[in-house]
Amino acid sequence: MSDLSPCEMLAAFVAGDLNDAEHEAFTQHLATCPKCQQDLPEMVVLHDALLMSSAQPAAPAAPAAAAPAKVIALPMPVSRPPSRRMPAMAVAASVALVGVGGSIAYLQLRNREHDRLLAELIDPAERSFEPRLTHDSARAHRRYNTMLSGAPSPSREMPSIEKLSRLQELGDDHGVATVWISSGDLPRALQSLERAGLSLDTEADRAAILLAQRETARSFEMSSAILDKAPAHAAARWNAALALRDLGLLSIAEVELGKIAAGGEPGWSEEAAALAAALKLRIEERARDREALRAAADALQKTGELELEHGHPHTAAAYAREVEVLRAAIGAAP
Amino acid sequence: MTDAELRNALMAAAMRLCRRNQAEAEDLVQETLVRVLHPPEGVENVRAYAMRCLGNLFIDKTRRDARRTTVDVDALNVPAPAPEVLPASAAISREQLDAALDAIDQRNAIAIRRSYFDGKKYEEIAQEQNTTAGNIAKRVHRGKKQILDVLRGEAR
Repeated sequence: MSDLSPCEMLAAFVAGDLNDAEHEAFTQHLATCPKCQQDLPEMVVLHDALLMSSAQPAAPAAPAAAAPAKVIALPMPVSRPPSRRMPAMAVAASVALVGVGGSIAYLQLRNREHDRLLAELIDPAERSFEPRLTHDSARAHRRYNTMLSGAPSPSREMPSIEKLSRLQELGDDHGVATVWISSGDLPRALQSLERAGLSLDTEADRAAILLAQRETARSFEMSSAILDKAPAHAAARWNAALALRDLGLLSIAEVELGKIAAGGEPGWSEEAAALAAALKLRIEERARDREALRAAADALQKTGELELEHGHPHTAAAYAREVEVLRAAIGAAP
Repeated sequence: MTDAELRNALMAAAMRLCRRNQAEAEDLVQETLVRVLHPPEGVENVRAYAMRCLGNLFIDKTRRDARRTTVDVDALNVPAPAPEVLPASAAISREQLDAALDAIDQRNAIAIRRSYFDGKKYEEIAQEQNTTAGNIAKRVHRGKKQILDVLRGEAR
């Protein structure tokens, strides 16, 4: 390909026909050649069209009406008059969109860009953060994926900084904060919330962050304060219930989650019901543990020997602590 | 066309652009698919729109990479291609491709038709045309450039 001019290598580049050295050389050329930069996307479309054509028979010489409907879109700048030799192109060029309605169109475009950025930055199906956030993009329920939760990890995808800064340019600091929270970067999220200003919603998000930072009591206080002002605040209710659970107040948490479940909000209701059911099991388990402990303590008092049934390994430490307390209470020797 | 077909076609195109760097190609395809989720109004063919997005994203990446590695001040100042707010989309059919092929240098057109439409290897076409495979490759690439010009209504 060495006797092709750099710009003539474009088609070979797109077709993957250059060797390593040529590919590298053309990549450098491409970075500085506006013409090739402009042509490359169209060449990609053309190459794909040719590849697809190889699977199709040639167009029949019949009238145009009989032409196959399979068409591919190729952008046609309208600045130059269409060639006389190519009447079909005149039609094609006239299809090019012309912007009308100036500022309205611009605003719609901004909104669309904003929505698109959020759609790109926030996983539509799953959330990695158990607390509930207040931004519009987090309103609809997304399944909580426990595998993704916790601190940021290398395996977690970093959000695109460019998209985030564009989102910020569009004035949505609250959205930026939501993305940072979703990606596990809580300090950055707090900075963005700061910029987003003070509101019940941003306060609720701060409470959500505190919950993730294991500042459970403070988180609960904040959520409660929001609920004093807005008793139906969905995120605050959710996060308050989680805080109660994490504080070990299982019965109250179960009741609160039951209320959320009864609210019937799609997705959130089901998740609340599942959480409440899990809490119910834990409460029952705890009751059984207490019962076993009481029986063991009785036996200890009678026989001086400690016999514990090993039911739940994760509660063994709690057993041991409570046995110590019991021993002290009843004055029994170890 | 299924999503998987689109993804495969994009991946093939991306692998050619990224010189078989699979991680880069996958990123490019992923970003493209995200855009294709919400195509602007007026897009009549998603595959072509996706290919164009892929090309534009690749250019963005090339410019970014160059900015990161180059110290050549002039290179930094290359103006970006005119940003497309809404890609004006028109359509070309196989029929229009044929018409464009009729309009370009016929040696190049034959090489393209034999290569793409008849699925011949460059070596085979070279034998038929009594030349070298390298020359056929050049004809194909020059011809494609000419097709683009014709499709844009530009004089060759």
